[in-house]
Amino acid sequence: MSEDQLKSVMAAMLGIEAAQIGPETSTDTVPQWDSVRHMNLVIALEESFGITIPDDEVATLTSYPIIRMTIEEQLADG
Amino acid sequence: MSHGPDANLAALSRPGASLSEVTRLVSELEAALPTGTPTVFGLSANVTIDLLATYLRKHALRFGRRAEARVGNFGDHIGNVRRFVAEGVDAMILVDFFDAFLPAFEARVPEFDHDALRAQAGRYQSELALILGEAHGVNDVFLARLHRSAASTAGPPDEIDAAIEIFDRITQEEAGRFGNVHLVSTGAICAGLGWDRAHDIRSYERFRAPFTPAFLDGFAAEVFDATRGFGAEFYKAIVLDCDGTLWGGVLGEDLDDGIKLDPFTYPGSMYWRIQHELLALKRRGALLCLCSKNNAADVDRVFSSHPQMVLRDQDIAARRVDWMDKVDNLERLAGDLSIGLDSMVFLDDSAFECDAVRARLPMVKVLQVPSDLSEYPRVIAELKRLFRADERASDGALKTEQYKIRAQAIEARAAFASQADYLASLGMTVTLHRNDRSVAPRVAELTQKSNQFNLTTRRYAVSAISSLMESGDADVYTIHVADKFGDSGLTGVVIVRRDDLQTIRVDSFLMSCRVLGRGIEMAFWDAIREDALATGRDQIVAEYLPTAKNAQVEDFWERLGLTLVSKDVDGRKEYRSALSSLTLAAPPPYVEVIRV
Repeated sequence: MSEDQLKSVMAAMLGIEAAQIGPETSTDTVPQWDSVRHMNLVIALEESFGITIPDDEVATLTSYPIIRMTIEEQLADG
Repeated sequence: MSHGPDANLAALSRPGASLSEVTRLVSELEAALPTGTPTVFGLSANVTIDLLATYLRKHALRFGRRAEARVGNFGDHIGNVRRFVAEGVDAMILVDFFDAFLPAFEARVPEFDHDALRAQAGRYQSELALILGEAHGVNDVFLARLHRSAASTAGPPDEIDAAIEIFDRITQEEAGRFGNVHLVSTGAICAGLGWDRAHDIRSYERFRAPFTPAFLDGFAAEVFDATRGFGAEFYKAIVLDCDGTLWGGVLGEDLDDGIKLDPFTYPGSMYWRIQHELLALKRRGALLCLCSKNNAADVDRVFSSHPQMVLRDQDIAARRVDWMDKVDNLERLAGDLSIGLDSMVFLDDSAFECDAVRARLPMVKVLQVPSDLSEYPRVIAELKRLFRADERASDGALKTEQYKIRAQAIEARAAFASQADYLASLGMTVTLHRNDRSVAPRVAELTQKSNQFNLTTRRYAVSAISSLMESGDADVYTIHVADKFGDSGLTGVVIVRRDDLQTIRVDSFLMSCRVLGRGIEMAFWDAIREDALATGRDQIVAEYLPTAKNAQVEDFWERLGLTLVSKDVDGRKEYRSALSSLTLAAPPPYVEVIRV
């Protein structure tokens, strides 16, 4: 997985600049990260990385580091 | 990474672009657009369809516009529709996913007996009637048809198919009662994509969002195609080159039996198929024209006697076949048909001709026959999209017939000693209706499209026409013309407002070009005068507002007999006369006026 690709997907779906995304990026620091954007982000992540995010992890994907880790795990499992 | 808008637009329409790519490109392209009013949609569904907003914005960009979507509360159509009406949205999208009527409805359908199913269907019908009734003032309502969440297995239709058919028939019946409702065939979108690619059952369980981005993309495309970008495009004519466009080879060199055109052998089979597609477009209302550098007699001979030609003489509305410049000939064709250059599509295989037209007549839509001929159907698919019939204004579908009637009428005229003799032989009737609500969509369409015979060029939406008809202080008159050749349908509109107790003001007067030249525009003013006098109003006020296209009616009010009272520097003219003492221009003696 390339971090640039992940940042570009998150930037598009959350409406922020890719360059601003880092360890601090989370639902707490991005005000527009609401439930609708979250749903669309999950759909886009699954599509872009060809993965299936398990149900119990969907709600926990609340920051850039967690999302990166989850995708790496899913790619490794696959 | 940012590219220019053109590259971005191309990337956006690439099939298979991912959701995040589409989302990013949409934002970038919208930022590059000049400011303008967006088309505002209200979305109401019994499932989650928030992502549709992204794809509506995507397809609006195809027409150089912005779209904005407001998402209503889940499953609350009535509440949502009321809210959207109050907010004045431009269009509304109503989606019911069949399986979501009751939890796991599809799986449970076999449990229901006929009565229980019919009770569900009855409830659906009364709710839908209520919802669409509330939405009648919105210009465009897109109602999703019903489809099942997984393709039926091969074999006879099962209980779910049967149940869906009951509900879907209700959807179609209710939609048919309202002039502003478009049906969106969701089953066809699923069939095009494949059922599995249209639905995501995991996402349905997880987010109540059963539709994939690909399905929502198809849905939004349908919304914009069905309305031609909400009136951004109104194409009327396809101007066709001949060599390399209608047949392979060069007629002047290969001669009649050397050109490539036949049902069985490539590449002739490609041209033969394309001619069938063009003929189908003609049947749906497109006017086909020829613009070819050839000897006219050679082309005429191919059209009349080549055994494999699909298109024949009678399919061509106008032609310019000579050795003149094609740009000049396009302008002449526009004149021949009394249509604007901006309603013409030019199809030619020559990059040189296409570039010349693009450069000198940028308002003409140019499509080039691809040098790789196997790509030709793709170009024709685009052409078909440009000429998609709007299913609401069904009167428009008669148009080809009507243009043909007019063409026949022009031929018949030649045999009479004078034009007056000819007109008298037609048995022409003009039927004047007042505030006929059933034709509000067609009236709105005419106000949107008419340019040349249009005194004020005020554009109205369906909802505005409906409210004028109901207001009590205005009258919307509609004019139907018929003669022995046929019915020309609704071809004229007069909107009269009663400003005060003494005055009527002609807000709008427009006629469709296809009935001009017969004096009909003078036929019905006596009836309008009678109506005004009957309400005690004796003053008539009218105006002419100049545009780039309506110079032909600049002196219409003078010709009718009204008195000019002022003329602005920008050409606006205002008229006022006393109705009781006004001498109206004599109505043509050969027209019978019928009031309904």
